[in-house]
Amino acid sequence: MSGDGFTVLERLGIGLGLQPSGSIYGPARGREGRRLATERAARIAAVAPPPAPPVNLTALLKTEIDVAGRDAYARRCRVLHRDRTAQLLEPGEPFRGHLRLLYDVDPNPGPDGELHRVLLLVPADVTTCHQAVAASFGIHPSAYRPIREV
Amino acid sequence: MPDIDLSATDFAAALADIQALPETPPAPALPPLLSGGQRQGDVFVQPDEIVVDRRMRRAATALGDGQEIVIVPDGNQHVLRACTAPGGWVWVWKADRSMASNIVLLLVVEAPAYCLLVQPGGPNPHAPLGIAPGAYSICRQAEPQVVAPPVMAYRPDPSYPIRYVAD
Repeated sequence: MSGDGFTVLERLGIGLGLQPSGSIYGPARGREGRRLATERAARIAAVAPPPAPPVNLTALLKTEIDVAGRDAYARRCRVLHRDRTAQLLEPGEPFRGHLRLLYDVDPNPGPDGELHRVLLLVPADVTTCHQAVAASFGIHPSAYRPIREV
Repeated sequence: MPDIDLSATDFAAALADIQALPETPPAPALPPLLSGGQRQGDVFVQPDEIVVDRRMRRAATALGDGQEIVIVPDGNQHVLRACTAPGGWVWVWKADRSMASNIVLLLVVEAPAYCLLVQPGGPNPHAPLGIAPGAYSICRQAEPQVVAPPVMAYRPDPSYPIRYVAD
């Protein structure tokens, strides 16, 4: 009594009876059917595999950025807001609604004297670049007013 | 100034000695001392309203002239350097790392002291910041850690009422 048929019927919520000979009867009705289905559900729950572990989306997104390359990954995202130097980006599934990206210029030039871009993960509830930077420092957007940046 | 008789040879030798002296590098210019918000890479100095009472002062660390405290030990480091004069004080409170907050340090600078935020390490350090007297909280940039729930596997709920198929 294996099988797919059994599983499908269980999923449909159909109560089935099992005779001592091993044959199936049903669909069972009333109290008996409910009892049988409850027993079977408990049995399935007992042998069901443990739930999948939660997915660390931050680590997953960082890995995807590393694999694709920072600039290449930024090009594939949707631009939500544009600033003087920065862009707020929305990544695709499964990150949409969980994380957004801030594609900004590092104010400190690199060893080669060139300005480089950084891709920063920010919460999904920010809607502007200013909000995104403030959120990355854990402060309210109205409190983030730097008069000097180096 | 007394006259010194030097032969041409001695003069040339003395001149060569002077020219061989290593050039002293020019003293680095002091950055502007500002009391507003300032950002040095991933560190933001935010003006704050901190009232220092006797209890807080007991828990504080006082920095003397030239003393330093490492704010961010990773990467190129961010180091706070106190520059105090008589009558001035620099008080710091290191934040508890167990608190889920971006604040890494609380800082109170009492005039005539001031502070410098420098980045001593690394090949490409950020320029130093000058911090004027005042009260500040120093925040560090962080990225959100988002953990999504797993995709729910099918698991029948025994308590759920069964809906039979009508035949």
